Amino acid sequence: MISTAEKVWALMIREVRLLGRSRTRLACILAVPLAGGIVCGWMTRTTALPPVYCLMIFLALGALVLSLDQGTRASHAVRMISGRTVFDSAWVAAACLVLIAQAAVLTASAALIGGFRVSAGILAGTIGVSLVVSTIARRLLPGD
Amino acid sequence: MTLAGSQRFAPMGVFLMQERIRAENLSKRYGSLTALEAVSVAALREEVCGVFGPSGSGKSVLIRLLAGMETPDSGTVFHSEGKPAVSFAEPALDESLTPLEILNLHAVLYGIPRTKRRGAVRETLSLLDLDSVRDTRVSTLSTGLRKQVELARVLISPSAILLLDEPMSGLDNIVRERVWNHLLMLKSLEHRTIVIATARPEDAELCDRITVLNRGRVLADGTVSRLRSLVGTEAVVIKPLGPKRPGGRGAWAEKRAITMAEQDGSLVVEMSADSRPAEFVREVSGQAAAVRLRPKGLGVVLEELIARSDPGRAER
Repeated sequence: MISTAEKVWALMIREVRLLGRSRTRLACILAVPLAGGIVCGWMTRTTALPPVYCLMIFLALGALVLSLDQGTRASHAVRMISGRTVFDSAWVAAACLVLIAQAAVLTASAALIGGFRVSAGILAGTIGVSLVVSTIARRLLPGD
Repeated sequence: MTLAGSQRFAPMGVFLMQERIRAENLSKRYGSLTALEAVSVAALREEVCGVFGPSGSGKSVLIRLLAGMETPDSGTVFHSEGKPAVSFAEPALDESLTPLEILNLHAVLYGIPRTKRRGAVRETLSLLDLDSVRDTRVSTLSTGLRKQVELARVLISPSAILLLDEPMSGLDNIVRERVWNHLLMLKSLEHRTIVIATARPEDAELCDRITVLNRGRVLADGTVSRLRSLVGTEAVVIKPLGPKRPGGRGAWAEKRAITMAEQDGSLVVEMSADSRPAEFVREVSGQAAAVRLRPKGLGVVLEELIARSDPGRAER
């Protein structure tokens, strides 16, 4: 008997593969946090504006990229078999994974450029907000 | 497959034990277009049911309603054993995945245990002749191969009910024959219920029962022989005794309103709808070396049924 966890894992792998194999989405996923890191680092060095807002904006942008290409016929077919809860759980897990990676790229590049420091709590909160943005966008954006 | 006129099915609202799927009075409208109107169908355990009709007759809508993917405006659908597995006329595949990845994913989602998964995936790939492209992305596959992957993702399912929308379109004859053999095996050995929507008479002919749809309405249903009997005409092939042709040609034609033609030394007699072929055969058998009934092809029968309900179709 297959456990729900195994189904969620298989669907999460599917999401990551789909993200990884779409050149446009992959480029956006990498470019958005890199650009965010550069701006954040520059703000930390040169302006008095709190760079954490910049972090939030760029992670939210990254989350939007995650939401694209969600309403495809294939996704509907897969969701029909797995059930909505399992399908959505897998998507949230995949989105968390990618957002953590994006946040890591952003903070690392910002720290390198401008010595930007951010607490773990703020980072986790930003990832959480991004996830909510992404989930809403996922519902709103049309599929094929 | 329809309930009306059949004694195999329970009265409305009663679900029989051997029925796997049953729909009553399904109606569906899209704006001003009526896609289905009061369609009732039922499919039994260990049965292949065909839904035959031309493009736009409502076959795909019926499949989607039976699958629970859409809600009917009125009517109900009952399943007796879990969710059905559905294949679509237009493949619903992740373009950037490979057939192997898609089948592995579906094997997990369908709950196939790890020990059996690899074998099931391998067998399904082989059945649909996909071994050579198992690691190729779907986006680079031809339309026919995509169709095969779409079919594969359903055939790997252990579901008791398979709903297949135009499953054989785009398949070459070898694969088509192999898939049909597999479907018939699933029916007889695993007691599955298979519902096939098709516009191809050669596929409808292999079904245990056929429901003929046109413009969202059921025109007829039953076995191939029942549908043939509804159209009612058959050709009688008469091989004459020696060089002398069987007598009374004019009289037969006048009496039964029949048409005749000579073909390879035999006389081919087309019977009119109200004539009685068996009686006619008895009448001429004494005057001929051999007499046989030639049934009409199912394609002709189905076309005639549709043409009767929709006389303007050919002109359109």
